[in-house]
Amino acid sequence: MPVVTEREQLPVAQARAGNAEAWESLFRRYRLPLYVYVFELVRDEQTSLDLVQETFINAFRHIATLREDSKFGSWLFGIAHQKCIQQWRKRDRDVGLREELAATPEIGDNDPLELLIREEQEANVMKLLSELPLPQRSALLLHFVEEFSLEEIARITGAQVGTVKSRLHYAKRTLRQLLEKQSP
Amino acid sequence: MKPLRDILLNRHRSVEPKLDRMWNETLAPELRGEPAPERRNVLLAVGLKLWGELIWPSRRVWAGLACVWVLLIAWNTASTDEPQRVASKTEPPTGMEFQALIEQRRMLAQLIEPTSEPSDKRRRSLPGPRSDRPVGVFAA
Repeated sequence: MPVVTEREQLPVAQARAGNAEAWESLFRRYRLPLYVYVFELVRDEQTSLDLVQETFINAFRHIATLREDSKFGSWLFGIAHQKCIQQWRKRDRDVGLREELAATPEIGDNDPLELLIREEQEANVMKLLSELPLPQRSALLLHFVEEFSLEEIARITGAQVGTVKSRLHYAKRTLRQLLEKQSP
Repeated sequence: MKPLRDILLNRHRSVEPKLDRMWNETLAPELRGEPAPERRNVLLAVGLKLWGELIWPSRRVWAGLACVWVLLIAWNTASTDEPQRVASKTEPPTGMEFQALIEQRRMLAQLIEPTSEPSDKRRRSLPGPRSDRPVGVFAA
């Protein structure tokens, strides 16, 4: 898996100073992962595009509130996550699922398994991913798309680290079971 | 075999042109402090929103109310005389009418003038204090 972390040199300081090129560079770096994250949560292309746009506008306006430049990625995803929550509230959907997951028991498992998926399994994995409860899906996406740490995912989603660990465990276990079932 | 990240990103790569358009049309102007195209037409947007949310869903009710108003205005216009028409209808008074009017005013003035007198008379007819009365009255 390619290393996509915040250790890479991003022009956050220049962006903070209002440099348009720096912002464009940040946009190009995060536009697709951010869109993927939002889309997999809200499941609507136009809404996802709107939320990505709102996320970047918020980022332009509130970059001064970012304390550490190295945390730009998780800060940006945190804004997007909040936008998704607002969207869910608007739709008044999936509330039950979110509440249900908040009570998920914590399991001390930090499974390092990287999911490698065969081409013929892709469609099924995507379908299963879309069926995962929202908090598990969110944690899994943040973990796999941007390789955020548990602490960062906890900060983005506003959950406890233990809860995030548990959500990731359940999500990975469910996906792994599916992959094992489909293995020849 | 592909990692989940690649699968996810590849599935959504088709949206990249739309994201680029978003940058060019909305985000870059926003960053430069220019009004976005849709902001320029904010009044139009508000109008459309009002139309879409307030009027269009209850269009029959609004149409009914509009018809009632049109009928009321038409009825009102038809039943009231225009000032010019009223003025043209009114003929100038003749000499006799004018004389009668003067006579009426004179009579009215006569009727009104003595109104203060009866009150004075009444006040005068009221009995005064006993000490003011003539002594003969008590003697009787």
